[in-house]
Amino acid sequence: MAAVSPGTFNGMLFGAELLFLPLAAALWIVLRGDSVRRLIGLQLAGMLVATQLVLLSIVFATEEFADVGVTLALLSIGATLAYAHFLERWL
Amino acid sequence: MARQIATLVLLFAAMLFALLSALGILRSKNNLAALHCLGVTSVTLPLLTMVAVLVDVGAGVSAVKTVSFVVILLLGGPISAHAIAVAEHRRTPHG
Repeated sequence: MAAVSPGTFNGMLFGAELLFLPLAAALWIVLRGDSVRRLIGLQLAGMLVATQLVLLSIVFATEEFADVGVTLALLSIGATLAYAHFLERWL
Repeated sequence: MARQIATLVLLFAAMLFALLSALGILRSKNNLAALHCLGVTSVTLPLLTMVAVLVDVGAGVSAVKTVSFVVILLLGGPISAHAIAVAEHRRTPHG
């Protein structure tokens, strides 16, 4: 595993940057939808950001990014469950 | 170079599925249909990412971390979707 060097084509870096496109759409959903639709958008955004972090950890040879990505994915599940319960009970 | 291109193609496919999923969520008439669209990404994104990483770096610490990440997403996606669907169903009786 090697960190990216300037001037060379890196498919993984480019692929990680491509994920900003659906991320923008997910953020648009979060901004515009009703409360359940916003939660769905947040779930999508969480998956995309966690995937980007895992990819960037490989591109830049930084293991900590992958740990942050895995932690974000785990926390995203718990947060969605908690917020869905909150929506169901009180909103 | 071939590995880089294969990785890029796989990640491009993942991006395409995620984008279609986001557009589907935007265009859905109700929230359960939007959840159905979310399911596309919650399966294809982790799997295509895992294959891309395995193609690019092969077996190693990064691959193990990616596989654990993929397992978390594949297990957590349906659980979260189910929780959201139950909340939506109870909020709107005909939802």
